[in-house]
Amino acid sequence: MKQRILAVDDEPHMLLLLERIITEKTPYAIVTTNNPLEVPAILARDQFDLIISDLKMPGLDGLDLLRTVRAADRFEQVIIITAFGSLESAIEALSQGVFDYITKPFKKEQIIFTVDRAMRWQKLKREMMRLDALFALEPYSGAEEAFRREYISRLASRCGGDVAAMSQRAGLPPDVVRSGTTSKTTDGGQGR
Amino acid sequence: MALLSSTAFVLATGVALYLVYQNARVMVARISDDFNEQQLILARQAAAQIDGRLRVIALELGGVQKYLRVAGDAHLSFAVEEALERGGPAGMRAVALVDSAGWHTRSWGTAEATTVLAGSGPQCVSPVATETRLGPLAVRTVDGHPVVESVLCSPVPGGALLALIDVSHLISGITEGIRSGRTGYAWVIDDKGTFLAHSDHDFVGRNAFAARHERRPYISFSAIDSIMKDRMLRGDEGTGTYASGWHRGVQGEMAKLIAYSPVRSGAVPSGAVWSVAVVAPTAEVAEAVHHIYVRQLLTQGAVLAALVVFAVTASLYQRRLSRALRAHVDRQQEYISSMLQSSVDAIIFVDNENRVQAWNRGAEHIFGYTADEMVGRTFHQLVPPEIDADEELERIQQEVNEKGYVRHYVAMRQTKDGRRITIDLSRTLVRQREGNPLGSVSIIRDISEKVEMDQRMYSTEKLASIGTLAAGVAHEINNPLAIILGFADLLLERLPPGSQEHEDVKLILHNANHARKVVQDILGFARVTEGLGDTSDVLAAIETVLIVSGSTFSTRKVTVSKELPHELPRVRGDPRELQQVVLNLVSNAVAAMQPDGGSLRVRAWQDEGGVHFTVADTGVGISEKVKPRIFDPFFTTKRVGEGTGLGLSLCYGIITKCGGKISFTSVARGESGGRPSGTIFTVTLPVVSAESEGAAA
Repeated sequence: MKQRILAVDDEPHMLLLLERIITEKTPYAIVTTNNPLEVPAILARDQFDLIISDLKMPGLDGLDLLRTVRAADRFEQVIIITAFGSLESAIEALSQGVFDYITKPFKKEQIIFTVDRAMRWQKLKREMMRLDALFALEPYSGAEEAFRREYISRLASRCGGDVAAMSQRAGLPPDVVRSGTTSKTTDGGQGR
Repeated sequence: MALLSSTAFVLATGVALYLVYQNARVMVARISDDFNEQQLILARQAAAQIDGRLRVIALELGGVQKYLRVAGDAHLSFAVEEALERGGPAGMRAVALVDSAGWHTRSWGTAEATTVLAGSGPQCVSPVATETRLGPLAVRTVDGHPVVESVLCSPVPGGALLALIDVSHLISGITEGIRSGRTGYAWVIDDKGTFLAHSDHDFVGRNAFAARHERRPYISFSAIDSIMKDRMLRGDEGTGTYASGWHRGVQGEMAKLIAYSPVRSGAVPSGAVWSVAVVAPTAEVAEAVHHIYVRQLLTQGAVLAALVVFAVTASLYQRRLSRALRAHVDRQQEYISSMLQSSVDAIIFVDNENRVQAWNRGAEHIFGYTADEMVGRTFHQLVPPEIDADEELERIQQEVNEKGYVRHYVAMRQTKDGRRITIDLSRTLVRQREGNPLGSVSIIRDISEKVEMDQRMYSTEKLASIGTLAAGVAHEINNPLAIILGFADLLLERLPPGSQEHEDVKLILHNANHARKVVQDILGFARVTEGLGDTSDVLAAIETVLIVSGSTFSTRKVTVSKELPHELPRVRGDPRELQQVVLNLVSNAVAAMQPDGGSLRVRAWQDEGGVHFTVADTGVGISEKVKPRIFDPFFTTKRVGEGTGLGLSLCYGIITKCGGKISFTSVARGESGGRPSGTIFTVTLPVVSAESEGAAA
């Protein structure tokens, strides 16, 4: 499943540029809107890994958006892009927990690099959250069962689903390994 | 003034003394008149008494006559003796009865007297007397003294009654009792001028005119002669003065006062007049007057003395007052003069020909010229050569003439050492009391520093607002620029390198990037609050720039001299930005020295104000007109395409945001007035203290 980006800017051409850079130069999916007031509704419907927002916009500006995301304790990271490179707004943004701060005009590499960094950060964060959830399971039997399924699922992805190889590398009986791979398909949606 | 008042005082004193003298004279005259009036009264009284005595005698004789007529000559002796007894004191000496032939029938009295009387009988009866009358006067010497006698005849039936009268006795009995003044006396003359009585008995019976001249022939008795002849002998009454040669025992010429009155008596024969004169020496009156005169003089003298004392006191007081006043005026003058002299502002007085007449120390200080150098000269040498002195001075003069003053006229002037200063000039027309213009006074203040500060303030404010504006513009431009750059970049990757399209898009990218650089510079100038906390090394920045620009210096014929200390404290500011500042200043300096080259001099030092460095060139300089604008963004004197006009704005932005200062002095070629042209930029940056440096790290 692709990691997803929401881009917000009142300038449609800028959104178009971002969309082109992201789709052509990164593996991520992008959703755009030029109406910052729509953003709360979009966020209510959907979850993203990253929000790229312009700083100065009519209605709801980048810092407002950042505050909304942080106040709701949402998963998304926020990158602010602005043509108005003042130190005050940068400090304000950073103190509010922005992931990074890009000034216009930017080179596309700046966008690619910063977005990539944010996505890797989000991926690790997601992984850590899953591990945290695993360790939080009770009772122990349930936690053990979940760990076994996760282990066999990752073993299967390393061995390309070859049960014999899996059994040999893990030192587990083949039926145990097999049961694990079958259960993986049922749990697949969770791993996203 | 003093001369005038002392002259007036002397005059007044003279007039006062003259008045006193006149007054005394008038008083002497009046007292003399009064005295003479009193003498006249005495004379009148004497005349009346003489008349009275004659009447007494006539009455006594009348009594005898009546007795004789009534009782006959029986017991006549008794009546006559009675009459003699009563008339004796009046001068009745003897009585005789004569017959119609004039012969004595009987007589009474002393033998001597009756003898005298005996001879006068016939005279008395012929012609036959009809009334009692006095016979002619006769002088007889009795006991060695002349005596004037006369016979009184009174007709009786068959003869006449005669009475011998001692006229001298009759009169002197009255006149000797008269004392006019202290020693004045009376004398009496008859109608022929014969003395009937006189205090000097030798004169009695003698003619007055002759007697006087005989005694003192050298004295002119014309006055008394005239009085006697024209007045007294005619029976007039009056007063007068005359010259005399004696008075009682006193000899010598003297003036006398005389009052005279006629004796009018029925007893004296008709037509004959006796006249009584009362005389006294004027000196006697004068003596009396003298006392009054002296008293008056003393009184008036005392008043005058009081006046003099008052005048002297007043004059002394006035002198003291005027001395105090003069001291006050002197002091005031000293205040004013020291005020004028020690004023920081120039205070200058010029006459109607615009020539300096007064030039104070403030003026010396501001313009560098001493009073000796300026007095008598015009302001022309103070006006810088680039200004039309005639035109400007004329304009000021015209306004002063029209309005009477010029207030806060700001002008450019040149000092003795060629410095340009900005002055604030106020000039007022000064008039004489009659209203004619005397000249004008100028108060001049050197406001160069204030103007410079105002200009700096103005340019700070101006630059700040330009910065804000520029930032807004930059924001607006950055957005489309980002889109152009982004799409061009994406497009470039798709085009095969070497193709025409690839080259075209590269050109778009190049120019868009240039625009991006310009916008960045604008923001660099405008972002005055950024970069706090960064520190940099001025020496390193200078050295780096000089090394980088080394090849430029040699190709552009520029010689470089450095005056740098071994080390300097770190200053606030970003090192790259500081390098940018030094580079811009050095580039500008090199550009200013083209095409002939010149020398570039870089200095750096430290004092309590911070770290300073200067970049000085020997280039064309900056003209007065351009000076106020050189820090403005986009202001450039270079040709289009050679400079953006942002270099110095950027320097200004960078230095200001670090809390530093950038300034310059420049002498432009053509405005130098003989001095070498060139420009010196001075940058001052605050030193970073050890603690703040630690905090920043």
